[in-house]
Amino acid sequence: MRAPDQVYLDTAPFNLTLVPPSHSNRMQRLLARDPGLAVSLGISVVLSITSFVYFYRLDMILGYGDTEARLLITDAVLHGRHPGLAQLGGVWLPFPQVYMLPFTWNDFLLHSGIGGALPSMASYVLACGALYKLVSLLTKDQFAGVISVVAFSNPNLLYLQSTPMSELPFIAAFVCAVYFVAKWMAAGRLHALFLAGVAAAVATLTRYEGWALLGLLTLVVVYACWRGGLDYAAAEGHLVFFGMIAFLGVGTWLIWNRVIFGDMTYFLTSAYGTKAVNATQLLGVPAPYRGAGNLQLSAELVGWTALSNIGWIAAGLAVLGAFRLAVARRLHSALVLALLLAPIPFSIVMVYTGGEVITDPPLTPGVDPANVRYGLLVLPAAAFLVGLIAGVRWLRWPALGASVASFALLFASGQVNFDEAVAIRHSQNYELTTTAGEWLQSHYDGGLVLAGKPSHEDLLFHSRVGHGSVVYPGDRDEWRDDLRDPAREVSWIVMTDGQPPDEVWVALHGTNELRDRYELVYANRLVQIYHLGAT
Amino acid sequence: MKSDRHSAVRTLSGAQLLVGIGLVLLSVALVLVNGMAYAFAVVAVTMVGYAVVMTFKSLVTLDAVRHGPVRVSRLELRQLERELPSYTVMVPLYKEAAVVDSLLASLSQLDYPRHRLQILLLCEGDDDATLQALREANLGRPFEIVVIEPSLPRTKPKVCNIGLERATGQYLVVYDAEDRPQPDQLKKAVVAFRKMRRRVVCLQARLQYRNPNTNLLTRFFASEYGTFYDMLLPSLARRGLPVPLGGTSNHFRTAALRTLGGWDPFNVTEDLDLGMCIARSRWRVEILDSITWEEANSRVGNWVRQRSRWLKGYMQTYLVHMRSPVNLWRELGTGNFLAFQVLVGGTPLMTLLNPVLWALTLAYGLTGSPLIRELFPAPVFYVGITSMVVGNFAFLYCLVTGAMVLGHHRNAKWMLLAPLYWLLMSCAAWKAALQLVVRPHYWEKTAHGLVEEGSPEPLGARRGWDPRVVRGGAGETGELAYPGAGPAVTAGRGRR
Repeated sequence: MRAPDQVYLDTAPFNLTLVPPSHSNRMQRLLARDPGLAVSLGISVVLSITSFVYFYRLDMILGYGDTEARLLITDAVLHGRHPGLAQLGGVWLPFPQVYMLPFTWNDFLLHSGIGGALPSMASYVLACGALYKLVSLLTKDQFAGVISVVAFSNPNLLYLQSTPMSELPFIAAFVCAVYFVAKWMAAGRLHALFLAGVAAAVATLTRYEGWALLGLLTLVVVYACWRGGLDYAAAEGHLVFFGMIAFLGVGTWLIWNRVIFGDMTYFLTSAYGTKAVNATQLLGVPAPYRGAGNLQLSAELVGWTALSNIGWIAAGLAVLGAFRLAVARRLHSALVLALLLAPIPFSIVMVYTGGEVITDPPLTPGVDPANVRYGLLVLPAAAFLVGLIAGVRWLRWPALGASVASFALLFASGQVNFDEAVAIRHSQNYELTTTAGEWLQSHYDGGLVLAGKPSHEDLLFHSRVGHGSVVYPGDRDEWRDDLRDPAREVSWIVMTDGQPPDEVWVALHGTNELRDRYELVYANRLVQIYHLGAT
Repeated sequence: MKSDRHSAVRTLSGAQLLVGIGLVLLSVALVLVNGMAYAFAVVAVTMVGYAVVMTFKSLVTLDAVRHGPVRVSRLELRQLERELPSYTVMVPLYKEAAVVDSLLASLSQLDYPRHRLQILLLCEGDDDATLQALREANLGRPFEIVVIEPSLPRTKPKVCNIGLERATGQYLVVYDAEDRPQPDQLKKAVVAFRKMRRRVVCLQARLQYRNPNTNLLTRFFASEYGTFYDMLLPSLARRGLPVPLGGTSNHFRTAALRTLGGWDPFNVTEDLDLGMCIARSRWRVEILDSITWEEANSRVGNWVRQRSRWLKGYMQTYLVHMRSPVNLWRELGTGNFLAFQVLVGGTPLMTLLNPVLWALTLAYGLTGSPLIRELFPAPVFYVGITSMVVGNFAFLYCLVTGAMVLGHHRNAKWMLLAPLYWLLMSCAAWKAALQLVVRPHYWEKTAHGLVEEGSPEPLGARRGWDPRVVRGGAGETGELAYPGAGPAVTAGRGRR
């Protein structure tokens, strides 16, 4: 018997009959059907906002130097002298910056960091939703899904989600991709495989770990087709269907590098590429503490940062979860776990080959922590395993209690990511460049500013000189011309004598051009600022 | 019978002719005043229009992966009462002697009480070969051979209108000579009509090709059909948008069809026109989950003739319904009016413009011409390059999805060569445009029986997952859509 307010949508294969008007909104209907999802999203929204406010009041949401650099990129895209997507550059994958664009058009949103944090916070909520769906799919238990979200909401993650960084968008895309592949394996729906491809493509455009994930996802798709008894043609078809979308990100990035910079591997091999930047960073690390070329140390560094991020209690629960998985011989869940652990081997290889630099005081004493936050990428796997534990009824409440205890302990003992950001903030170089930036802000009287990379990001960010008044390497021809003859249009020159000195220092310091046409108006141990005006 | 105002007997109305001449004169004047500015304006409008059409069609098509046609369960079929409503089946025939035997065999297999069935075989009086083949079959009830005196226009809709006058069924369906409908299709239509509101006056069955792997052309064609009938049409129907009917396997409430005035005898895509008329009457079309197997054109020349007729029909239908745009907008509403512009107007226009834009892109790539660069300043360039890259990719992906939805997995990779198919479409489009001027009512006859008749791949023979799993309840797994499809992969079950 049809209720009077229902319409005839039961003609659809999914028998979607409209529920009464009080649930007419699709999201409301979804949440009414899945209260666990509502609870998970509710918890994540509350934690997200609370954490953001907490860290904002501590003035730490722009703790990492990379936050300012990413925000400046969005400023260059929107307000630069040559605005446009080409200002996204060719080294950092573009999605985190693109994601921030709608929120950083405003000066306050940009310089306060709120515009960059908002996408990160939204990504955290999305990641919680995806993790919940993944665990509840495999355990058939909504409560287990909620507990996994509690385990996932770790203080280190909550700090990172309050900052304009790339980790949270990546984790969200990563977990979504794994969830949709799991859903496809469970139900065989093309729609799920399509969405897995979309999420994988986004992940590959967010962090390079996504490229490793993509490789693993592809192998899992192939394996699942074989396991499901599909013939070769069917497996090939599914692979084409998935791959066309999933590999779009990698293909687009390579073509982008080729079109904009003339070299498909620009992101790797350029002067600002990952190799060059990491090589510079490695110079500051004493040889015994360099993971590059030392496989054991690389594994230890990655393992230790993972452990320090998730905490001992969560690690213990995760081990229990892995044990349960092994005993239950649940291949589907094992495949999911393998996918979630993809960042670990990738990180070890990257540290070993010098593509990443990780330092953590317990293993690298006397060296400031660097990239400790990368260890957070193992958190989804740990939370997933906690969810598996919680899927056993009598372990449900102990798992929840242990997750809450883990949160409290990590919060009380201090978040390693937060400590890393504090270390960066208190580093000598950062203090010198930000002081110079604040000086420039108070003395800037208009005109173009010539500034090099990479140190200019902190300085320019704090100077509040908009990208519309900055000549920097992204301006290519003009940049080269102004390095040769700055007086033709540049009023301010900023240079840094770091390790090594920046391009402006190398090109202009001590030259007659500089001496004759510019006046030194500010100097500290790192930065010199010149203003046009003959001495 | 349709009045001239709503018929393609004239290609252009007087007002349209005047507007057209006016536009041409205005264009000439603008070119003389400032040719570059005019060219830039044309390019900018074209790019925006392209972006809109591509976005709409891609999104609507891909969204249909979650949806599907009207399902009728086996239980519902079993519960049908014994005394079913009367049903008329119309089959227009012209030079189809080669397929008469298989056609009659297929129609004989229709699972419907013979005393409630009327099968009208509509044959032109000068088609001796087909008439001879029919007479030799010694047909009895429910078959009736209707001999139609040759008269202009020599079109299928004219013949169908004559059949409509003789139809006695409460419901009516039109099949083509090469069609092989699933035997329970009529019963499914009865169930579907009954459980839907009376606003639903037409059910379009899904058309699929029984020879998708004959050659590269049929691979493209079959995937295109999958994209159209299994994705685009259900998505349009679900949204209440105008549905471009296929020319066959349209089931009607006969009374509604008579109210609509039947088909336009001068329109070479009478089905598309009728779909728009249904929308203008604020009635609905739904897609029926029953298959009619057809033969895909496997020869390029035959294919071009058929496609040029279809595209000519799109142009005709657009011009007929746009004779009074204000009335059209009033009758369709804003959303459906815009959808009409995109679906009926945008489709042939895109296929006509594609070669022009490809040529421009190629010319710029080879020469770097500043003249071409001037036509594409940054905003227009971005819109254009996005349309080209993203839009073409989306259409490619729609074809791949169409192949997957039909279970033609081995054809998925061939869809990456779809630009060749699009080139062929553009050739057909220009042929259509020319014919619209010189021979607007000429019906390009499609040759059938080019591929040996064999059984289509039965649905149950697909191994492993069926890509369209039906959700039977609150859980993620549920009843599979078709019998014989394998179970979902669950760990530990091993290979089947």
